[in-house]
Amino acid sequence: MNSSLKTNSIRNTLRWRQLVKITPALMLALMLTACTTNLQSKVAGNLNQLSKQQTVAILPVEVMEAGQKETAAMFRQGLYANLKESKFNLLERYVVDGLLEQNNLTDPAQFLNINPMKFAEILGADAVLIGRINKIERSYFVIHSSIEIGVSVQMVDTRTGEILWRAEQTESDFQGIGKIPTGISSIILGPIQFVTNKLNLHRMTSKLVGKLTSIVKNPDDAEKGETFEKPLIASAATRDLKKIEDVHNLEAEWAEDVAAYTEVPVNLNDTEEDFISDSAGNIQTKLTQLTTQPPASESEEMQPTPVKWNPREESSAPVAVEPATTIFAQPDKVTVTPVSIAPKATVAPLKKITPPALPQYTIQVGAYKTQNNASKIANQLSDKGYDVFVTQFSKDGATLFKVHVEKFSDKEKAYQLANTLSNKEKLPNFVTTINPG
Amino acid sequence: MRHCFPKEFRWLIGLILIAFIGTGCGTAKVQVYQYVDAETNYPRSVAILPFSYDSEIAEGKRPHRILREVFFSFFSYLGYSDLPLDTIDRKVAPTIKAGVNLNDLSNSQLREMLGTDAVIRGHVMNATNFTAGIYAETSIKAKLKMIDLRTDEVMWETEHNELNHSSIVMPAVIDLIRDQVDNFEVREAYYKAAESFTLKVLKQVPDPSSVRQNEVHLPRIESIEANILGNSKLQPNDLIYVSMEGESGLTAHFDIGSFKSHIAMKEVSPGLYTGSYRVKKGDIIDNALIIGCLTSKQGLTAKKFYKGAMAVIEEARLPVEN
Repeated sequence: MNSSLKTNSIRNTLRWRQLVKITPALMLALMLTACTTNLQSKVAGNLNQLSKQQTVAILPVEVMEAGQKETAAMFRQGLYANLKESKFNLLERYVVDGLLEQNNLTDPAQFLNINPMKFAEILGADAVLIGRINKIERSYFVIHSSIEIGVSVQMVDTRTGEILWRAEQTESDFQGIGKIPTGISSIILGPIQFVTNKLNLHRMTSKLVGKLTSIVKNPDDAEKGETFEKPLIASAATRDLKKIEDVHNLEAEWAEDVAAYTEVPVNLNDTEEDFISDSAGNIQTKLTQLTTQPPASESEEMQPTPVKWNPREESSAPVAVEPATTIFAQPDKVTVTPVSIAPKATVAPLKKITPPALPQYTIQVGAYKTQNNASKIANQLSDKGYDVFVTQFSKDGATLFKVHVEKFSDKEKAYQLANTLSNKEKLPNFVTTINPG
Repeated sequence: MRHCFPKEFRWLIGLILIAFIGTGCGTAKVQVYQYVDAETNYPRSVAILPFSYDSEIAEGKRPHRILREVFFSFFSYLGYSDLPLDTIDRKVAPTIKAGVNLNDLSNSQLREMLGTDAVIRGHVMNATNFTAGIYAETSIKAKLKMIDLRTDEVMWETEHNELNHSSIVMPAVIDLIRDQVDNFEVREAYYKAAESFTLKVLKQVPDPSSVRQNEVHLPRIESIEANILGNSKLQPNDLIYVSMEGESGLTAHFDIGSFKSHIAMKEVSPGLYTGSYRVKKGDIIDNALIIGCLTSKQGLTAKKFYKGAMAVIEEARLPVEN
């Protein structure tokens, strides 16, 4: 009897020892078998700038296979639901889909290649959220089954092309022997049920979206590694921005030259000013490109200036002018010399002329460092029937070739033509005198 | 059949069939009385009224509020114009304060109060959150219906009990433990139950998106002009002046990239809007495009970029993505 009790006691002790040994393994299993998430998410500081005044459009989600469409819709619905209470407004789905369809943008695979600025004009949104289902993998091995979902998202500011948020997430879960089945039937039934039940995929998608969007709902909580070191511009945006920048660079040279010209302290009282006429035809607004005025409130209203561009009238045909002009040297010894250009434009032979008694007005449409460039624009205008001439201008050793159109003794007519050139030819210009009155 | 599968595999096939049958469970029954089609004047705007709840449910647990919030979040995916919950609450607050039950209000009174085509009424009949030993459950049982306030017709209604539970019948110990632990977080548990409830119901609720998609039109903007030149650097006190031509009688504003937004524009003559912004000391504007925005009465905004120049104050350039 005693020996039997002793044996039982020894057995119990061994069982407890086994249990103690198994416990860490069980704990480890618990830790390892919990569903796993791999989330890499980064936000830009400017994400914080979005407020309820800004609208974000969640675009249809791209899928890699046709079978992923339902999950994609579920994912998008989850994004809408989770971001509903964020700092910004969401553009309603039917509005987004309707406008995309009207613009024949129905393939989500194209979205990353489209300039975000185009989305701004199509949707009226301040940012777009582009998403993709990278993978949905289901695997089944009798006593083990698993589901893995991979998604990526990118939120781009359509006003600047800046990437505000970029994330990639993989969510996986499994069922089977690794989760310590509760019975023999569970070993077999669990994995089948897990992989075939759509609700599990939905649950995982829902969980995934919740984790994914938490950083967008609270961008302040983003840690150092979760923020972009420098602002990033979406590659699709850079193409158009580059084009715009190139155009601006070309214009810059012209602008600099114009600035140089307007600095000339000539005694031409009104040559530094440009004017546009209001709807009543009265000249009232100074059109210097950057108007510097005394400080005022941020939202101050400028005096409304409805611009009425007068078409070039038949009667305002080029006024016959002398074939060549020399502007007299100014007090600071600036000399302007007529320059011969391509044959179509008026060639100004170098000869000194007698200044007319009255001032003459002309429209300057450009100033170039090379004669060749000046000739090009002069020829183009000449082809269109304008009377064009180029003058050479030197200051501090630098030479400019200025392109002028027509000459008028009537200032009003000069402004009318200036308007026509701005409106019809899209040429920035200003009215100036070619000789002091 | 008898020859197809060995005897020892038959029980396995049976289990598989049971599993498949199991997967079909978990749907909500929604009774739809009126479907969406192009001809019917289906409600466009909807307000989700505060949900009532059974007296046995403790107010502190707030399952009725959680269900309403979650339902609202997911409902916005459908093609309705839904009134924000705080707006609804603000509008009905005086009535509730006066001791009037929302259920006692007539549809016409509600329409006058909320200004929507329809309302969704909800009543939480039961809600449980229970964790004990090897069993845990969270459930929400509720009735919902959508009523067209213009016609007094019920568009759809549902009564559904959403039950999330775990017990020894769970296939794995790990899931069992995890679910038990999760169930302790009452609020989170109710959120999960509310989400499942909502998703199942919304799957069957008529969605007017396809009809409304065709009605969407942004306001028309003809042109936008600004007084800045390409590559010119702005200085403090410089005035950025913007004019925009488009549909008349709407609300307009302009943005300077993402630096400054919603700068008001005024309609100075029919269809011509102007506005300005004076650069301040400390403003940092880097390659910003001027964007004209025109907002319709329906709240849809059209945008047009002025590409003639970019506003620049600092030289800093954004790196291009590789």
